[in-house]
Amino acid sequence: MIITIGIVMGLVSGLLPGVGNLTLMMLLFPFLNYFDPIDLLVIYISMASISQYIGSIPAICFGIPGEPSSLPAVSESKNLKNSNEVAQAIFGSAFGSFIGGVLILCACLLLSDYIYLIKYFYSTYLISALLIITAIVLCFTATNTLIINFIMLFIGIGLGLVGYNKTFNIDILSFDSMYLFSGLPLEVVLVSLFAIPQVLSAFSTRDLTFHMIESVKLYTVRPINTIISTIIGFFAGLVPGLTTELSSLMAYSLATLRRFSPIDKIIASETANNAGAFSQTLPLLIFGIPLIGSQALLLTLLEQKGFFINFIDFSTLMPTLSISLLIVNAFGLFIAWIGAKYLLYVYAINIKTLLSFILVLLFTAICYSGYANYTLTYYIVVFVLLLPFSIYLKRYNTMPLVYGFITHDIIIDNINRLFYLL
Amino acid sequence: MKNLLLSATILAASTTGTLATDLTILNAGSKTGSFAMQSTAYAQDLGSAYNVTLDIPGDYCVAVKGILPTIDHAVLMPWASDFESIGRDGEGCAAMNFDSSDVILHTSEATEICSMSGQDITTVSGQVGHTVPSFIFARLIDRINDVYGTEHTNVPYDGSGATRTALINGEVDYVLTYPKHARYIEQNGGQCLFSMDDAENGLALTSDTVWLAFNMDDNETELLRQKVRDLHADCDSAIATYSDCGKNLQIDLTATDEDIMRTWEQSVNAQRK
Repeated sequence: MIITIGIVMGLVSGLLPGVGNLTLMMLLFPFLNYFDPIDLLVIYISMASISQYIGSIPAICFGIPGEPSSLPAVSESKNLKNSNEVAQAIFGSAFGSFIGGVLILCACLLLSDYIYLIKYFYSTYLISALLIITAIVLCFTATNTLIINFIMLFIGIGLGLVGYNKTFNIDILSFDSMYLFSGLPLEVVLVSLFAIPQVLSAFSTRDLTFHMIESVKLYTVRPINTIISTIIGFFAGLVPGLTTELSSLMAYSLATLRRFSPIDKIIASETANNAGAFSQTLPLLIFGIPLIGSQALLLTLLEQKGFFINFIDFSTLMPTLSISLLIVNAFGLFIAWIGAKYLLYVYAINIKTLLSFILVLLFTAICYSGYANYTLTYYIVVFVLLLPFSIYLKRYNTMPLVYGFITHDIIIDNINRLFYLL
Repeated sequence: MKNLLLSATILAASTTGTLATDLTILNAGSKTGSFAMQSTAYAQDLGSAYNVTLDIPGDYCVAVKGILPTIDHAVLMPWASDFESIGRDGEGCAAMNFDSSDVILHTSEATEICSMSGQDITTVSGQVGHTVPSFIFARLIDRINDVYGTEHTNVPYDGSGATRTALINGEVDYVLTYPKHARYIEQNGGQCLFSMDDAENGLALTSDTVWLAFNMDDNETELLRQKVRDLHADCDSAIATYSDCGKNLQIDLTATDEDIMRTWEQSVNAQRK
């Protein structure tokens, strides 16, 4: 019953663009109050895991980025040649995520007495190195010239810098506007400078007679690749503020460097972000440190019920959480199988109609996000201003720009700190 | 006559404290910080008396300038002395204009210094981790060096969680942190032996917070003030669980309005450039 609640919440959070885990938890706050601490943990972990499984389906099928961790899947979705490849990417991602999830569970169960050693991962040197290496690999592998990739990376960082910068306690190009003070909205930048260029590019590159292929050959898992993506996803998921986004981007960069096919690149990134979905909860479960907003809400609920993380032995939590995660991962696999089998019927629709529908959906998602954040007008203004760039950027892979935008504050914070530490 | 009846009804409702049934708790802080946790606790506690909406935009500018003006019913919102000091320095997006009658509760947290080994910051030099903005803490560390002849250096981190982790994994030797985080550090084997409350030597740094009432008349404000104070006095309430029944939050329930405003101004001024 408890797992089912987590799964349903994960389905809603993963399928509806703009409704993240935090928004959903706030909406259901009075309802969540009734559960005991262990149930809350099970609900949370189930929700986080299922939303990753489900989020990949619209990303692969329709190129809709439900959340930033799906960006690699969105980017590669337009390179899938037929519905058979779409099905393989969906099922392969779920299967890779399932195997990766089981591997992590086994590792955590076996090493639960030593799991506190992840504290050494939180080294400024190590995190800085990870972020910079990922940026460099992305610039060397994204399908533009190297110079263009670096320019895009710095443009992304520059756009991210707009607003109040708490590291240096200064305003950058906010022009006394309270909206700009808070920076450019992530959702609008992702849709305008990444998703729309991808969709527009697909208009010109995809075969308009994209018919269904009836005999769906399911993907065969590649064990070494799965293990590598799982390890990358696990550690990148520990990085505060980035978690699953960095997991998928790092795994994707490495897969691109190793010249994987589009299907394998999608599977690598989706396997990694599912591993990150679990590892991001470890600092909360071990040290009581929330890495993202939904975890802070969970921590408060836990403490209100007298459940103080530091007084709980992590190894005693693991059996309950492991069983739940195993069930949830199996369910995710099942959902992906259903998705791979039946979502293909969507591809019987004319591809131009489908892509137009996606553009409308993306705009609706921006409007919903703006409305939910009380900044609808601002979101629409930024969207309109960025629209010419959306059209211009359709010939480029804007992944480095998005990476720069998402990671700018963490890169700057870490590099700034290096100067203090050295 | 109609207006008279309406006024009488409103007055009666105000007196019995039933008018402000809708209450938005608007968190003017980050999504992972202590304000988010306290707002959640209040939402839990006040749910029986009000129709509570919890709003956590994750950005204090959006909260204050974007959301607050759009809400036409009662609002309870935390406001921190460091936001106010940045705003008064012309670098933040807002400085709040309020008087003591708008204050539902005033809390004060003295900064503590923790280390893992229990070494003495007044004698053993090292690297001291703290949150941003840096200049407030850097100034304090300079003052410690001046007073005790030490050679500490400061290292800024984005958030209390990151600062705490840096101490636990040995990246820094000490951290400047607030009581809630200090207790976590102690639970992880650290020691917090030094409290920054020595105003005479310029070694005082407190983070003050006022919980402000908006869109409420005097009666409604007083009713909410009383409820919030009762919650802090009840160690079984959610907010008292957060504060460990007052151990992690300094609340002087006997302070006069003048005391509150004086303490607030001192705290704000100590954090200005």
